[in-house]
Amino acid sequence: MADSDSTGDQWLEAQRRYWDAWMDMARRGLEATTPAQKASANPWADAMEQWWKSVAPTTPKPAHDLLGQMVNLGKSYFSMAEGLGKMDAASDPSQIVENWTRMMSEAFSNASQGMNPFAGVAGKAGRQGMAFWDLPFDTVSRTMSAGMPFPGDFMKAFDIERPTDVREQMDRMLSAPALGYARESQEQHQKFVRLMLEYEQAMSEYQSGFGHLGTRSMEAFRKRLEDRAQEGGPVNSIREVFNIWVDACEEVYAEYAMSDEYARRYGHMVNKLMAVKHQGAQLVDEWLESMNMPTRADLGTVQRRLHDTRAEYQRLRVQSESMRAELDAMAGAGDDVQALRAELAELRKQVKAMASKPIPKAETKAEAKETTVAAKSETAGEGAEKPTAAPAKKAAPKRARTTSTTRKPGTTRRKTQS
Amino acid sequence: MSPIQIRPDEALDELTKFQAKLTHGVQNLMDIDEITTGVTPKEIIYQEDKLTLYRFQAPASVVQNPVPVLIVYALVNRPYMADLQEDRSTVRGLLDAGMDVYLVDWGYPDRSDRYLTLDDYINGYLDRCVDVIRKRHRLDAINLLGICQGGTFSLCYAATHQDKVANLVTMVTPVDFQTPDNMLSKWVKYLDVDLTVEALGNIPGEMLNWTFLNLKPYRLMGQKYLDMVDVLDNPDQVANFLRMEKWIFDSPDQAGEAYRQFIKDFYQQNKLVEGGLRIGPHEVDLKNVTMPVLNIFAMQDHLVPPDASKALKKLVGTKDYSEISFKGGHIGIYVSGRAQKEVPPTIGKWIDERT
Repeated sequence: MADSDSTGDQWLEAQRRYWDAWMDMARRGLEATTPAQKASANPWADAMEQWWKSVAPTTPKPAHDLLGQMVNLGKSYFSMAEGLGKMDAASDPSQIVENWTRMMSEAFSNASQGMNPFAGVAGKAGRQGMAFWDLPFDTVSRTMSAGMPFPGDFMKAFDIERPTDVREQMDRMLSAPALGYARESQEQHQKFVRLMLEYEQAMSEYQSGFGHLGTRSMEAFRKRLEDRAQEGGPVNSIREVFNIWVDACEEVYAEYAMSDEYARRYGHMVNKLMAVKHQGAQLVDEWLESMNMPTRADLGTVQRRLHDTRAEYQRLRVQSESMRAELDAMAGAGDDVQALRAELAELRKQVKAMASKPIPKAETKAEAKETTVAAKSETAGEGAEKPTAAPAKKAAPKRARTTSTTRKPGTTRRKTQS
Repeated sequence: MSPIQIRPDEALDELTKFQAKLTHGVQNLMDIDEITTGVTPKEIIYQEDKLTLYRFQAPASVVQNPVPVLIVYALVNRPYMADLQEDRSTVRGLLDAGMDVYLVDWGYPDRSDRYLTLDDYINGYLDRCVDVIRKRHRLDAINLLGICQGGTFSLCYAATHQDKVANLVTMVTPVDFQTPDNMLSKWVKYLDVDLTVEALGNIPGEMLNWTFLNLKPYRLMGQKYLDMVDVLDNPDQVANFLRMEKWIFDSPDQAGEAYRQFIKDFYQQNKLVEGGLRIGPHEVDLKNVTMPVLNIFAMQDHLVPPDASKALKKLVGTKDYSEISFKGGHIGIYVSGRAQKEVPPTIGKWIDERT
């Protein structure tokens, strides 16, 4: 860290000296240039770059990425400030705004390369901002080269914005009918290359859609600055200018990004890329198959079957658990049956005890008959306890199922016992 | 008069401060090791495939509501946003409000999960998590708290498994996917989703990141990092910023089939509003959401515009519908200081009143 601090202090001191020189020359109405500084348009930003190069290797993850991003923005920020310093205060206000807008657009494009969709919308530099969409394209291109008669960077010869002789030759080749033993394979490769060219075209159209945003952003920026100046006086902070510029750009961008035109261009670009990827995968599969290796399609089939099998397993598992619950309920009903048997035995004892009591003499004929029948039944039941229990056993599951779904476990037994 | 009038000495002062903060802030950045997230102690209750069901440890001093809350997060980001750090934790707030909090972590799908459908996620994984909690607590129904896409899942689940959901809370949840201010919806209008899934299999998380960042590119890819320099001399704020950065770029891939159905049925055909939505064997009709519903949305949400959430009011069948608007954005509703004070206690109170 000592080294880092030392580097940082030196850097700060260097910047201080630069700004002192700049202000001195600004006061004298001269350009802020010395022979040494003429070598660089933005010496402050360049100094920051040098400082970052010395510090970056010692910066651990995850701080490294964040700091790198901040340094990128910081360089742009300094570039803007230096640009401001070089402006003549007496310039036309609209010219100042225009210069600012141009500078900031350039600075922001440089700072956020790899993420910003506007990064140099014109020309190949604009592709920096579309790195995400180019990445799979590049991957496919490189993968394809393994199975194609063309080198991996073959497509780089095709510049969609500046048609070349190679491109014209390619167009003719793609139009030629496929012939012979390898006809199908040739057609597939022709299709792939044609799709790549279509994707390049779609990407170019997508990027060109941003072209008109620059002018509109400038107008929005100017309006916001004027509104701000009317409300609270002129802006006197670099950061505030930056923030107003961000707001203006977001406003104009959002308006375009919400339009049907943008949606169409975006959808078209993504769809064309996906077509390239899909065709590329098919060609790779063909090549893998020829090498007797598993293909992506093979894996897809296995994955789908595995998924379906697991889904079926889950369905069966749910069914199995449901059945287990029913069985558990039935097992619980067995206790109820035992309780009922005990209750029945008790009742029988009571009846037996009643039957053993002497019959009162003063009874009617009918009463005497009932008593006799009861006594006979009791006598028969005593000797046939097992047979009479059988029907109760059969009835038990039916009762258990009913109670298991409507009552809490144990409730039935308590009621029976009471 | 020029609207920009910056004196050289003011410019010098501003830039000197900026570079001093940047230079000295490096020390703070170097002192930071691993970025920790998910601060509240929790235990694993259930696991299946990539999914993990967690239960958070409640403070001993708080009397708990007997009916637990299951947080259902989105597939597109990681759920630790709900428990980001000590003083920014929706989970902690809910625990303090007396809730017994569970959370579904969907994990990171890989190629073997390419054929997972919304049916698998909602009627499979989510339903089994709900059953596990119901069994543990011997309850017929529990409370659901769905966040963002997880809120949409929760609505689908509640509409088709009414008997298992006691109360439903939705946070920043899209319902009407085609409101005029929904940028994402417009972007996928002409997308050939079938071709995309066929070409990519699973949808890369980087693709989603690119999409989300480009909703506000100048702010999210530029201004944010410049503003960061202002707090670089504060180690705590640096750690907070890095934690948020980690979350933003921690985007799992999306299972291809689930993505296909979500984009087509929800974004492109808006079936949750227009009708005709089927998740597996169930037809989803929000009129069947008959349990109490609390709908919370953010007024400055650029991902899920307020109108996209507010559409729920006219679609659900419940007679007990409440909604709360929060002054903040899609992320602020979990992590801002005001959110910590307002959102979890409100949810806790609302649930307590209905338990």
